[in-house]
Amino acid sequence: MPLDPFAQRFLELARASAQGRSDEPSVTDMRRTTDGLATFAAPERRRHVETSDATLQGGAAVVPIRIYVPASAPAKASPGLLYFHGGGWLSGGLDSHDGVCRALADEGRCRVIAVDYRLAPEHRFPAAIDDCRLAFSHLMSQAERLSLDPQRIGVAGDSAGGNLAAILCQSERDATPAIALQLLLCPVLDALGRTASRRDLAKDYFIEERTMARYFECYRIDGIEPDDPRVSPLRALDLSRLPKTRIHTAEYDPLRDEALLYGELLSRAGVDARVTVHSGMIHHFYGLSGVIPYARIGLAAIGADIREAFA
Amino acid sequence: MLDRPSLTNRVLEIAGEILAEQSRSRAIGVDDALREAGLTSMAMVRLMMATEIAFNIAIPNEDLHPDNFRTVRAVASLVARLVEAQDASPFGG
Repeated sequence: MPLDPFAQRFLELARASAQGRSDEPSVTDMRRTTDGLATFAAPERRRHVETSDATLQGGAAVVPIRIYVPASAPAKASPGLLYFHGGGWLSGGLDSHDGVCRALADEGRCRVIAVDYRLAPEHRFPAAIDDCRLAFSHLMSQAERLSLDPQRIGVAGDSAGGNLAAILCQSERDATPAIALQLLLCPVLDALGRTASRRDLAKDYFIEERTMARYFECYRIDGIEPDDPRVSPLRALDLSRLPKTRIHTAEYDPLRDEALLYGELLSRAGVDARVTVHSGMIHHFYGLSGVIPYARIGLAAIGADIREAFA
Repeated sequence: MLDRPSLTNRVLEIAGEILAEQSRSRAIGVDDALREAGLTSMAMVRLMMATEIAFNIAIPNEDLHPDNFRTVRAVASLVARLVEAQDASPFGG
């Protein structure tokens, strides 16, 4: 299918706006870009989803979270989705993905708990994953107090947040109760991928290969190579016993092929895994319904997967 | 059709709103470089889209050039040209 015309227009404008700059954007610029994108492109604020902010503490770590409660979620023993935002491990936060989290809570009829994990390069690997793990163990141990059903807790994330979610699901595969759902949206599964889509869509498709390389450079530490499964979950040798997995990717996302490959490898390892490729769409489409009308349909499809997994 | 000073002021307002969304000062002059005032690439996309909506125009690809978005005055010139072309077209206006 050709590129969706709204997605194409968005890419043309993005390309034109980047043309004038000769220098590489700074980390501050990249953070402002992620935050700025949400101000006009994010899904509309769904008002019947209530939110509250809190902080989690574990040792010296303090991790801010935002809890989303849609009107449709049960008051007690609600399904819950732990959510890690995207932004290349170095940008994004609770506000940049607020629209996406509201939409997921609403469409999925579950509580969403978004995690404001520490960002690189100030906090490199494994700070983000440590914060995500802290949030996960807190959620599991405090499920009842948070009105959650511990049997129906999922782990989700988009882009670099999908990377964190996949890594957490691998390391927590023996958790009891087991994680009920792994939901990955346009995830980074191979830190420096060498797939055909990474090569063919390396430039001009919203997320560029040189930007990916920069993200990884800011995130990595000495001794962590791109093939290390602690940063590239696709490279893990054992993919058995992972939670039910639903991956949503986009036809024109450079990260498309690693999503398809991960789905295939999980299926071969006996995991209930399904990958949906959204035709004509680009990376982060679910967060662009302000400029790409199809994004609403995509979010509804993602919501249907959440509801089905928690049924 | 808006006269040129009103058109320029409207572009100035739009740029100011976008700067304010980025927690930047909305005080900007018509000849100030927008990028130096703090408009990121995504904010430039926002400016292009907001301009299209505000003036009911479609900026053709050949005009998606950084020179046309360097300053408020440059954007206003582009808009004036596109609005004029649209008004002159039997299908426009």
